[in-house]
Amino acid sequence: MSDRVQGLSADQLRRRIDPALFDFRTTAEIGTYDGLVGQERAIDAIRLASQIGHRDFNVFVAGPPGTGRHSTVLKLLTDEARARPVPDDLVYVNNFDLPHKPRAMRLRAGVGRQLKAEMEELINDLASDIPALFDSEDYQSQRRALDEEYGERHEEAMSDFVDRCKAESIAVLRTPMGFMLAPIREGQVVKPDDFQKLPEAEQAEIDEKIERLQVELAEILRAAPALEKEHRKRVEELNGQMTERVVSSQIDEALARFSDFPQIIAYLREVHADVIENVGLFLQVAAAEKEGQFAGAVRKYHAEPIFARYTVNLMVSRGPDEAEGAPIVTEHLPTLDHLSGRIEHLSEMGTLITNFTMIKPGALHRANGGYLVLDARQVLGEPFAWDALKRCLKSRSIQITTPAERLGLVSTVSLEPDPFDLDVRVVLVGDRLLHALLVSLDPEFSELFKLQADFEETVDLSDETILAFGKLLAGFAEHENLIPLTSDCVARVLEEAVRLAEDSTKLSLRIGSLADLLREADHYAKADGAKVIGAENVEKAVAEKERRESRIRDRLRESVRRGILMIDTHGERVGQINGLSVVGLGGTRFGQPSRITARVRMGEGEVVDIEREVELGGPLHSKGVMILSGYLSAAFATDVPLSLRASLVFEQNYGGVDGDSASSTELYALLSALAEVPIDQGIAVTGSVNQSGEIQAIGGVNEKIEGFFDICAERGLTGDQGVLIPASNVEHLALRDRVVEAVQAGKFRIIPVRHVDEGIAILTGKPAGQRVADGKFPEGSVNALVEARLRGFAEARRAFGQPGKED
Amino acid sequence: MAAEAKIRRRILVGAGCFADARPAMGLAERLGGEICGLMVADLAVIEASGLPAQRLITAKGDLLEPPSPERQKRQIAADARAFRAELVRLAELSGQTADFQQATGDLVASVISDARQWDVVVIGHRRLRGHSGRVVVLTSPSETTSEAVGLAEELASALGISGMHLEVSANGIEAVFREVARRDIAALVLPIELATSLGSGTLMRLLEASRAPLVLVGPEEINRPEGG
Repeated sequence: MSDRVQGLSADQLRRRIDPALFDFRTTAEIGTYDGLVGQERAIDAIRLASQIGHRDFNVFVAGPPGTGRHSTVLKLLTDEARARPVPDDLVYVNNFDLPHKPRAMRLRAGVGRQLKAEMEELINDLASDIPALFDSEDYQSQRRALDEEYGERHEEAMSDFVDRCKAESIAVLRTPMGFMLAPIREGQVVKPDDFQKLPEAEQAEIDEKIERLQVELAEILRAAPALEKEHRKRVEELNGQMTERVVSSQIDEALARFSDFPQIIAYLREVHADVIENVGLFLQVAAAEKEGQFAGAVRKYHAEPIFARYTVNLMVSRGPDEAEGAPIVTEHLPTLDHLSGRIEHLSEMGTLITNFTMIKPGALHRANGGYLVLDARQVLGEPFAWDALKRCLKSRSIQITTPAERLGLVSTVSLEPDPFDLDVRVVLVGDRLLHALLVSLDPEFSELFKLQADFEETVDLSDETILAFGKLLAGFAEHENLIPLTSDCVARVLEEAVRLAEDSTKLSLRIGSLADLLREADHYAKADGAKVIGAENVEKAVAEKERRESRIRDRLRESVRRGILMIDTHGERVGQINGLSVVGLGGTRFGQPSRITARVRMGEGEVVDIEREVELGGPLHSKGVMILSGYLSAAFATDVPLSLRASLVFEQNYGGVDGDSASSTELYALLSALAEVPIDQGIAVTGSVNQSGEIQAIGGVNEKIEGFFDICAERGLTGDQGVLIPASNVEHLALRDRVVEAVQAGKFRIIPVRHVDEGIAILTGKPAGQRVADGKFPEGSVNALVEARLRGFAEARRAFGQPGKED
Repeated sequence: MAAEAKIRRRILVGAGCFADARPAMGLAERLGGEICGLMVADLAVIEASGLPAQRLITAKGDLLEPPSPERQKRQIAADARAFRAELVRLAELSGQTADFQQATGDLVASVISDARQWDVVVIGHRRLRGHSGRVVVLTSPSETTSEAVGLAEELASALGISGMHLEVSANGIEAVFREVARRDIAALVLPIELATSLGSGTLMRLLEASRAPLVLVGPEEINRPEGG
């Protein structure tokens, strides 16, 4: 252990951004930039989608959250939408012939609103004018004359009949069930007994008269309904003529105003005919009003349910105060109803009823002629929504369906509204996994979403990107009303971007995380009364975030401190080593050392991964153990059977482990156990190994180092302690200052290794040993000891198998 | 609102059956007041069904076998129940109690005998048509008629129809019969004094000729304050 390996220098542990790179003291001095850095490819794809006129060039914006996908999409679409025309108004009106099939009208922007106002005014006017007309003496006198004419025609027939009966001495008797005729003698009805006493000839004469008159009366009574019908017809004609005068004068004005719109002209003519046919509706309202509490008050008659048939259902119309250009609609709850619209129902006397006024627009209606932005996961999570979206895009029309219809559960009155033509560009925002799943599982997806905008997670670190990022942060500060950032602050934020990227040559493009960091730093700066955000505020924000998220980490550290979780940070042990893992909980990640032990004995060439045996190990971990097993069997005593039984375990691991980043660590423990050479417990190890013994890069290197460092620091740094990391991870280092400072002071080491032989030598203080000319490892080397042990196992196994040796 | 003395009439509705009573009840309801009912079944009508050539002619013009006397009696009983139920309904609407009596004999004679006890007497007659017709008031030059004319105007206004004034002239009542027989009449209004002077036979002829309810109006009826 005397040949102490120094490890990496402090300046290799963290990429520093020099504030001097910026030619400003605070961001208040520079122009801002509200675009994105490093997302040119994605931006071009979105721009193409927003500009191209051909169908189905919808775009899926893929990338991790926090990379500015939504804001970029909205900004690009807003720029493009401004230059586009305002889309048409969409309205539904009554189909007077087939009320269950409402008519769709697509009208020039603003005309739908005008039509709605026109119809409301028309109904208000007619609801006043028509009852007034029917109350007028002009109408009343005509109506009375008509009623009297028909009344007297009927009465005359009855009167003549009664006269004839009287002339023939026959009385008309009223009974509860109808009329009967009876002979009269001296003013009295002849009773049946008296009738029988009359001469037969007289009886016959009376019978003949009664029978004849009965038939006549029956004919008169039967004729009454026909006369009634004729009367009703005449009244309807009179009503029609009177109504026509009022309606024509009102509707002619509307026809003149909309003379350029054939659809509206046709609709108004239908309204004209329908009002005349249903003039009773206007009279009903007037009659109800007379009895009502506010008789005579000026009323908005168009709002009466009885006049709903003349309503203009304005589905979509751009208000006068709204922005010019094409619409950009973001639907945050893309249910089927919210997407393609819905038909509402009202419960009336226990029955669900609906009409065209209850058709409500969906996001597709509102976005028609413009852009619709949706979250892919939400659309896919809503029943029938994805299917409906695709159907509308394929058919280029907006068809309104309900889940009940789709499931065949509808048992009530529903509508079949004319669908509107659809011209919309859909932007789906989601993650890459969703995109991959859609491409592979939904054959229609690639047809309908021809473009992908793939957001980068990192961008190369260069002076150019650093300066661009500086402007980006300045723009963000201005947009979010933060106080200006100093150049130190910007540099510090960029260092955090490097750490987020887990690569000292990259900057993370997860703008969301950096934005949150800046917002928190702004809060601290303002709390201190500062006029600018400095690096110290960012530092505090980073530290506070870590502190907020470190409850579990601290509990684990406490367990280590109290010896409940057994981690040695000094001394030597055979077959025991400190491995490093990363614990991830939500957005929190921290490194945690684990004791890994290996035990060996003679066996049949098995390396038992105890984690896998008890199903606490994931597949990648098992793969790592198998690889190290492969290395072992190929590197040592290849001329004899591998007669080893080894067991590997993550001690005190109760929650499972996955990944192969501990495979080199496990191999070191195994080699130590085989060679019976102790390992320095002050050094923790991370890195995966391949079958050639090369150490490969792993993730979370910074958290792992910091996890072990914090435990060592708590117990007191000795200067011998450190972490072995894969050499290929060196450029990923972005360690916290406390680690960098300890390394600077020679109190901690970060040692890159490329091969197992390097690592085992550092851990044991003994050379690993390379095979020499005779094929053997140098005596006393770790590898020589390992090979000797393995060979010993093989010999023992062979001896154990020979006859006579069993005793 | 200032308290205004409302008319609370005592109205008798007389009819031979419920079909005749219903339009009379409608008129009484329009007039408002305390309504009492009297149903007088004419036994001669029941007996007339026994004539050999007898047929029943329904309001729709169907010719049917005449109902037996028993069936007619059951029908009269059912009509009485319906008459009483309708009276009760009207009485409940105005918060009063219903008084209903049933008898046999001559309806008009029964009603006219004590007509002076009532403010208004309505003698029912079924309407064969749905038309509104007109309200006709019949007066005599020798009698005070202002109450009858006032009530006729009130009825015409309530029904939304026109009115007509006839007078028993020197030509006698026959001219009136001819006139009303050819008119479409919703109600024929006349003073009780005139009705009693005409007698039940003439009144019956007026009823048959007009084919509309007769409304007999007492001399003091419009001056009786509510609760008075």
